[in-house]
Amino acid sequence: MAEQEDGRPDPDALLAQVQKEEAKARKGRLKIFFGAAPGVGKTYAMLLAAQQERAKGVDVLMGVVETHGRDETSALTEGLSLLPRRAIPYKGVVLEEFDVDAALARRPALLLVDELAHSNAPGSRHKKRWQDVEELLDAGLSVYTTLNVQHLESVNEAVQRITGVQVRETVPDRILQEADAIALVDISDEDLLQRLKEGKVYLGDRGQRAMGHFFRKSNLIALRQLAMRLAADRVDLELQQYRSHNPLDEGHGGGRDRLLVAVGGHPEDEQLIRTTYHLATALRATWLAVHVDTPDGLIKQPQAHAWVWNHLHLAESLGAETVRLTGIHAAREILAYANLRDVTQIIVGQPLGLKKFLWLWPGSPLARVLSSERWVDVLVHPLQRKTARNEDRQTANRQYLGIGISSQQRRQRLWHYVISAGIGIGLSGMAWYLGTARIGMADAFMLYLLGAVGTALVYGRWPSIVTLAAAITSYYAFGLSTGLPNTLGSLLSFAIILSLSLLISQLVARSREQEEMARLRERRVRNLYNLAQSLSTVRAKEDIIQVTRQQLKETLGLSVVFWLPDGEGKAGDQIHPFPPDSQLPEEGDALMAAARWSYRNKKMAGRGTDTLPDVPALFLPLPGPRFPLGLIMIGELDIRHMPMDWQRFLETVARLVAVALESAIQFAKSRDAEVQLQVEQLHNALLGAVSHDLRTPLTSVVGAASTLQHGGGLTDDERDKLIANILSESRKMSRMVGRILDMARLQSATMEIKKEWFPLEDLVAAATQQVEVLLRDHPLTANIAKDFPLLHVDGHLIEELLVNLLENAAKYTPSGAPIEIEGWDGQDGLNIRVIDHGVGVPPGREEEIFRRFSRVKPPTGEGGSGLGLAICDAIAHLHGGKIRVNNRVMSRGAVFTLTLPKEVPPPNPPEEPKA
Amino acid sequence: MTHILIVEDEEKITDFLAMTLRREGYTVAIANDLAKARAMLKAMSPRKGEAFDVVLLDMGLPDGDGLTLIPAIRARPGLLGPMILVLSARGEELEKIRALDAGADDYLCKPFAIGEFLARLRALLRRRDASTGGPAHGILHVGDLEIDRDHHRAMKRGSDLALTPIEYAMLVLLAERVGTVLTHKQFLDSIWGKAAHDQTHYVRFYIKRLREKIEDNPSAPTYIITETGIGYRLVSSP
Repeated sequence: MAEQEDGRPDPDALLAQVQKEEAKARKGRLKIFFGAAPGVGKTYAMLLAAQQERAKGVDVLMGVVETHGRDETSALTEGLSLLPRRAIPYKGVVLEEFDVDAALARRPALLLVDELAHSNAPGSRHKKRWQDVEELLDAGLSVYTTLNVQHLESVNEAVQRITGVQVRETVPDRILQEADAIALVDISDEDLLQRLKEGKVYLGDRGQRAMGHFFRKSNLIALRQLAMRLAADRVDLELQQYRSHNPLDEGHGGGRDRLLVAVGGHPEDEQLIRTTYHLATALRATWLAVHVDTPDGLIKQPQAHAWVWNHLHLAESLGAETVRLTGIHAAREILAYANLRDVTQIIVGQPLGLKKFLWLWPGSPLARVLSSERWVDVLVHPLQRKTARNEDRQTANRQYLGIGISSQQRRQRLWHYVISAGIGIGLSGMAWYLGTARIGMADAFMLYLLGAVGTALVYGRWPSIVTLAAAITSYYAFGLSTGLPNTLGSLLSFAIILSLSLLISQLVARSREQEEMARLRERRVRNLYNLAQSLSTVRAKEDIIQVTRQQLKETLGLSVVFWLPDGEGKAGDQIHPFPPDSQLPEEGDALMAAARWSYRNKKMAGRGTDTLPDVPALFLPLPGPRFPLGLIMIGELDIRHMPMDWQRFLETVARLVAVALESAIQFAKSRDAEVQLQVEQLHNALLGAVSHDLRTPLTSVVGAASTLQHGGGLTDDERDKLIANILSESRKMSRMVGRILDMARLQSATMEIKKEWFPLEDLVAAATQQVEVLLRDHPLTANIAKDFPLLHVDGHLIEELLVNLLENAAKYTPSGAPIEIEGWDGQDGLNIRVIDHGVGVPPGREEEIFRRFSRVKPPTGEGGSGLGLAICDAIAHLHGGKIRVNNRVMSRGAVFTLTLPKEVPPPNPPEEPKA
Repeated sequence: MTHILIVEDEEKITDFLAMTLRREGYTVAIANDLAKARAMLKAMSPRKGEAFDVVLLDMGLPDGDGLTLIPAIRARPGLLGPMILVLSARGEELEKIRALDAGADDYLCKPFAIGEFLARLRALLRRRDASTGGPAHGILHVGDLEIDRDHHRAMKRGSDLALTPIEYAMLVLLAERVGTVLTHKQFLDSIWGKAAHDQTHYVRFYIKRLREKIEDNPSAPTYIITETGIGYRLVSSP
């Protein structure tokens, strides 16, 4: 609960508590008018309360109110507006049901929904009305409802024991526990019987019949007791919760009991769970439902898995913590776990059947638990054998394993019997052919045994019996019985053979079943494993969906469609099939409605579930942080061919996919954030560079201009110098602005390059023009091979690149040193070189200098913006080429080499005759 | 008297342009948006000899694109219209080409130095005078180059350059409009005809050859200047 072992509040539990309360604040409030039996006046009480609310001005709406024709009750509905019911056509009849959507649309402050345990007509959204009510509460509507004690899940069996009537419509106990208020409507048994007699409960002679069965006085007393106890338990629970929030307020220590119920794979273990639940509630104890998977148990009873799952599910819904352990000795594991968790009481079931007499056998699990040396109470609970639910083992097995029996298989099986019978007759024929002289009776019987075992091996148990029966019948028919000592003796022999072959076939059949089951289970695990593995290799959302679809198709034969929300996870998000061109079955609107419901309510919906079971597809939400990340729609799901715990299996699949999707989303987010960060860093660096590089010349300009403005007493030379400075510094700024624009353009994704065919000479000429001033100090020689082909490039960009290289060359080269440009058609592409006689590149920085804002201090003057070479690099890449630098080997200087891919040049202009 | 219309919205720019031009002896009118420019152009009556000789046109004006004004300036029938010098920012080559194709005579990149501006202006005025001067005859001098249009040959410092017919034709085109830009399209149209209008590499190919013949250092040309993305310009050596 909310405390750790040392008594301090457990932060996780506190958080859970806060979240629970928050969820509760958003939810509507539920008040249950709770009674022991029909006719105690729950509906009446509910209407009375509703009228009081109405008098206070609350907007009350009657969703469903069953007056059962009682006048006093009907009178109370006056003044309350009634929600029209929804007509549901079903097998030629029109059934009327409570209209959830209309109620949600109308949004009253208080909604009356009678008969919480009601089962909805087929075709409704939910199978049960309590599911409707849950949806209403989730949507924030407040509800008044009525409930009889016999409909509560946890007392369902007790009621059956008391009254002998099986109640099929049950409501989970948590509904009662989580209700905001309970009004116990109680009248004395005499009054109720009186009302029954007066026909106020059931009209006509139904009342008389009811009095004979359900409404016996003893029953009523028991039911009232039950109802009162449950109501009291609930108040207790509230007290307990209140105390756990306010530890200081705890006057007397509440029980710190912890119960443990050992759950096996028998259908009867359900009784254990209910008992433990009641015990735990009474003791205000927490409780654990534990199952131990043993290798033995796994093999013996495959269907037990389904039961275990059902049991643990039930326990969970009743508030237990469920645990599944694995071990060789169930008892040892349970005791160890009980010790670990400080369990005060262990509840185990008394073995059934033959084992009942052996349960204190020293080696039995129960005996082990009982003989434990630890201080723990053990309660051995007697179990009632369930006959109603004891299905055919094999069918259950098959169902669990997901093996359907088709008509083709049935035909095939018929053949097996025919063949088996044939073998039996054949064997007798053989014995007859050989004659009694050569083959004795014992030999013949051995022959039959061989045949029976053979058919058992190949076809199974029943065919083997057929073989034997056919053999024995024909044995007499062929007249082989002559010479037998006596009929009794031969009958005994047959009996022995029959039991032997049955035993063998039983063993064989079981081992085959086990083998098959192990194989199927292994396949299931492998499917999940494969899915997990493939999901771990992909990162993009689309890929995850693709992989999942492919895997489910390949391994389970399920073709699925994903539905994805168009937003970031809000109730209002629309969801759409993905891929968008997915083939949907015809009932598009119904599918859309089911998908939307499943998304908003974060629950499964559609075929095979309790919600919208008529929709021809199953929707499986992918659990997300607030709303599902999406839905998996399974169109062609034949539940009959699915394992019994298929929902659980699909949930596992959904969870796997959800985890992958979630991490994909997070990955994308973090990547976006990273890109964003890089862009920001770039911007900051750019801003820094720009502000520095622009401010320096600006300072000169402002200084020079203001000197001129105030400038008396300047010589003409000084004035000219200042003006020249203003001009040159302004040009520098202009050039820098241009370069920043270039860089921005090159970085933007929209940058398009416009390629044309250029002679290299033309580009060099254009570039030299721009750096004319710089080159006055540095004689330029161009050495371009005669056969150098036309370049297919963006003229502007290559010109810019060359200008940058030439500027660099000039900047890092002593005055007067020449600069050379070379161009030649190389192996790996067209090469253009700019060679200088300067200081060269600092060793080790050959690659770094092409990065943005990487600067090398020139020998004289100031460094550049650190953008020039980065621009060159970007331009080279845009052209599918590359640029690199190395220092000259023999002398000082740097060599920048641009390599561009070769392309087939267009034809030259037509030649003309020499003048 | 030479009349110059400045169509430009930036006051700082009109200030120094007008100042310089007046000092150079031109008369100056200023329009700071398209509407005013239109009104001023309309108010001029060419019949009475009133006309602008040059329009300095900014592209980005508050009430629209300066480009739209070019047809209005050019569409005046009869007498020779004003020369149009487009002022535009660097990196807007497409806009410049559009302006030149629409009928502008030359362009100048902002920012520019006043010396460069005046040189362009003079080149335009010279061209205007030359084009009124009848058929293309006689000898053209550009720096050390001498182009004899009567004998279809070009010489540099007295020696024959031995140009092919196409090289010669290109040089003449450039020389007749010395100082102003010629677009690739203009070269292609007049030498190879409209069919070759997208073969811009023809122009580059022959310019390269021409440079090899007329330039001292073809890698650092001084006569034929490349206007990247637009075309070429012949300048008299500095």
